[in-house]
Amino acid sequence: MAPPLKTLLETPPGYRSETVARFMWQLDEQRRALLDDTRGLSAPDLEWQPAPGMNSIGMLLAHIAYAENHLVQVGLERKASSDTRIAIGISEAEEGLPLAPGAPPSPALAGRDLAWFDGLLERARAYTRAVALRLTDEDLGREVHRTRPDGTQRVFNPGWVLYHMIEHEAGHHGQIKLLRHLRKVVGPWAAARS
Amino acid sequence: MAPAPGLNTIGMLLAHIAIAEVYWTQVGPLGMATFESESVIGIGGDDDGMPLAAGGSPAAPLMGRELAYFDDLLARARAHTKHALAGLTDADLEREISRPGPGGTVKGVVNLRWILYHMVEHEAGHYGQINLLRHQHRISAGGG
Repeated sequence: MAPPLKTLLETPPGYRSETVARFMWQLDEQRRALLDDTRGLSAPDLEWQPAPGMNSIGMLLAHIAYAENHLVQVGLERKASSDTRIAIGISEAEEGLPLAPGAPPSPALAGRDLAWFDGLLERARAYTRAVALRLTDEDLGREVHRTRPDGTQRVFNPGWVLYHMIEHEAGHHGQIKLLRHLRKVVGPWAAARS
Repeated sequence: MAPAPGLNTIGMLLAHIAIAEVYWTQVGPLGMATFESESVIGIGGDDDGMPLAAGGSPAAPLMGRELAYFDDLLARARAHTKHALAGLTDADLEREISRPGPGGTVKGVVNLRWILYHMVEHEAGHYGQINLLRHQHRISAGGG
């Protein structure tokens, strides 16, 4: 009989902070699961919406990559604003969230295949890792005071940013799984009722 | 209401979050050999109806329940978790746990640190799905 599968949250070497190292382990584990769940998706699968105005899987993948890079630039590097287009090749406007009521998927993503989205995610994670390697335990508690483009003030610390990156990716990963299921179940069900 | 037969409702997802949290707390920090949620949150491990069979209807034990009912499930599950975690030390987090499988088998081995991570990602994933279901419900009701 094969030995039982071991899933242990470990502390990867090379980071200045063990806490940051474990956050990165969690982010990488979340990414492994996300990639597992998206293998085999075609360009039409990635563009499919359950209804106009709803996000496609491609939009969610692009948003995960965009948000990760934006959060790292403003939350960990403390930049006043991010330039994700230069860093990973996509802007907030191109990923298309939030989508207006009744709108089609973001036109900037039309016809893109899975490898293109994989590339976005990979570049975002490489950027995150390079920044995370330099963070110390003290950095995690240092407050960041940020004025958003709409003028509102936001206060957070890098520890929260790393936590939020995990919950953010996990939340959209859950939506991607539901969209895959909806495409299989609701598509034919809705067609049969019409 | 589910968007189509065979799909989870928001209520089922809320109940599932509470049940799964009790499960991981009992298997992990509390080191219990068997899982039992009824005495903690008032419903059994299968009462969320998940996984729902293809074409299946929403879980019967949850039919007609108000939001306050689900809030209470979640609050009781979280109180149970906090109580179990309060005494844990850093060293405890490395403890390896064998997850019991059917017929005395071992499903897998995890450490307590992983269980805490998984509780976060599990709730976050289903919370994302709840957001999506709410959006879909608004659209089908004629909203944006």
